Amino acid sequence: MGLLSAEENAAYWNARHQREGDLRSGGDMSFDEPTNRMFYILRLSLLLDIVGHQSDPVAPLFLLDAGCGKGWFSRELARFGHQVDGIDASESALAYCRERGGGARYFQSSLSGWRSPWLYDVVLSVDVLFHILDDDEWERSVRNLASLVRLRGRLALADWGEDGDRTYGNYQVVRGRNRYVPLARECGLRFDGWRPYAFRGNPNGFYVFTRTG
Amino acid sequence: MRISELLPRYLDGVREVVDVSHPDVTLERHLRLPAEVGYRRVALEQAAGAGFGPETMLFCLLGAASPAHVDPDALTPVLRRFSPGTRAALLIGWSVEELPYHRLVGPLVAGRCQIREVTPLDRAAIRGVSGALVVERVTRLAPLRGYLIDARTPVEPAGPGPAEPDGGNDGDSGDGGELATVLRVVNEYQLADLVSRPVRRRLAELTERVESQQRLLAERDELLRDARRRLAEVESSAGYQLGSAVARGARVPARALAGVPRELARVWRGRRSARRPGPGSDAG
Ligand SMILES: C[S@@+](CC[C@H](N)C(=O)[O-])C[C@H]1O[C@@H](n2cnc3c(N)ncnc32)[C@H](O)[C@@H]1O
Repeated sequence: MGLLSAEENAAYWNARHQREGDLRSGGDMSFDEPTNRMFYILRLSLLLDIVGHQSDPVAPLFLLDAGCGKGWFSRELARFGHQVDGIDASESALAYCRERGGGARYFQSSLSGWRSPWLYDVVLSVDVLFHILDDDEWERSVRNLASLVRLRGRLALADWGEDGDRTYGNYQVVRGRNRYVPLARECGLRFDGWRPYAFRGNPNGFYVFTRTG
Repeated sequence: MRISELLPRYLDGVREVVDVSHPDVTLERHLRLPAEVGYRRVALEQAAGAGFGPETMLFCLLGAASPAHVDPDALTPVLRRFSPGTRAALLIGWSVEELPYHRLVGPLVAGRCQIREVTPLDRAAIRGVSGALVVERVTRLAPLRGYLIDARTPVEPAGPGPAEPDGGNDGDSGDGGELATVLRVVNEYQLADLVSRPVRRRLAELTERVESQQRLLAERDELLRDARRRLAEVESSAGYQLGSAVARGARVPARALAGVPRELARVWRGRRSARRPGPGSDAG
C-alpha cells in the first residue's frame, strides 16, 4: 500500500477531526471514547513528570504543543498554570480548540514551519511525528522543534522505542531510537531516556531530551 | 517550589547553614534542614570578617525593605571571602515582576559567584518572599542543572538503547560540553536581548494606554454618576410624576379615566406630605 501524499494526509486529519469525538479524533481509533480518556490521562501524567511539578503564576513555564490536534493536552497543561502555544496543520482542529478556549493560544502551522521570537521551556509533540510520512519533512520537523528549546529546556517527542523504522497502513511511519537520539544530539540536546506509554500494548513512548548546548 | 524543596539539592557536603538575615526575620522553620545540618545565626558585619568554605551554606533574605531586608551590596564583602565551592541561598524580598536584578549581578560577579538555580517560591509558603537564588563561588563554569524536574523524580532511561556518552544528568562534562553551554548562554542572551527590546517597548506603550483608558473610564464613571443623580432628582419631582401620569393616561385612554385622577391624587398627597415638617422637627 502506498503512503498518503502530504495533501492527502492533511485532508485526512482535517476530516477526521471534523468527524470524530473529542479524544478518538487525535487518540487511538481502535478504542472507544472512555478508553481513550484513560489513554490521554495516562500520557498527561507522563508529561507531568517530563515538564516537572512546579508552576508559578508570575513566572510561568512556556510550552509548545506541536501538533496539538483538538487541544486536549494544551488545555490540561494550561490548567496547570503553564503558558501553552498549540500548533497544528488542521484548520478544523484549531477551530475546535479556539471555541473550547481554556487559556492556550493556537496557531495553524506545520511542525517544520513554526517560527517564534521566544524559546520554550518544553516542546512536546504527542503522536504526530509518526504521521509525518516524508523522511525529509520529518527531519526538518525534529530540527525545528529542537531549535525552539531553550538552554536546559526539554524536548519530548512521541514515537516507538525500538531501533529502525516501520510502516503501518498508509498513514503511519514509526521511526526509532537510532534516528531520534543522534539527530537530537546533533542539535545540542542530551538524551535523558525513553518513557513508554505502557498502555495496552501500545509500542510508543516519549523520547525525552534536555538542551545542554 | 518551597525553600525546603530547593535547599536539599545543594546541601551535599554542607554541615551548617549560617543565617545572616536581620535578627527580626525568623525563617528557620521554613528550611526543614536535615538533622545532620546545623543552623546558626550570625550578624552580617561579623560574617563579613569571617571566611566560609563549602561545609557552610550562607542564608540571607535580600530586598529593599530595610532593615528587615539586607541590601545586596552589603553581601559583597561576605561573598568575596567565600572559598571555591561555597554556596549561598538568597531569598528575594522583591516581587519577581519587579526584581531589580542589576542590584544582584554586580555583587555576585564581584564574589565570583555563579547562580546555580533561581526559582520563584510558592506565595503561600513565606509571605513577602517571591523567589530564591542558590549561588556558588566558582573558578570555572559549574554545570547548569535542569530546572524542570524535581530532584526526586528523575527521567529514567528506559528499555534498550545506546548509553549516553556525554555525561550524567547535570549537563556535559568535559571542555567541549562546557564551551557549548557557555556559547549557548551567550548567544541566547544576546538574541533574547534583541527580541525583548520591541516587546519591552510594546509593554510600555500598552501600560501607558491602559492607564490612560483607566483615567478616561474614571472620568466617565463620574459623569455617569452625576447624570444618574440628576435623573433621580428629576424623577422624584412632582412635576415629572404629574407629567408621566398624564402621559401614561394618554397612552392607554381606556384606563385613563380611572387611572389618571388616582395618580393625581397620589402625587398631590405626596407633595403635601413632602412639605409637612418631619417628625420631631419644629421647623416649618
Ligand atoms: C494523532 S493526532 C494527535 C493530536 C494531539 N497531539 C493529541 O494527542 O490529541 C496528529 C495531529 O498531527 C497533526 N499533523 C500531522 N502532520 C503535521 C505537520 N507536519 N505539522 C503540523 N501538524 C501535523 C494532525 O493535523 C493531527 O492533528
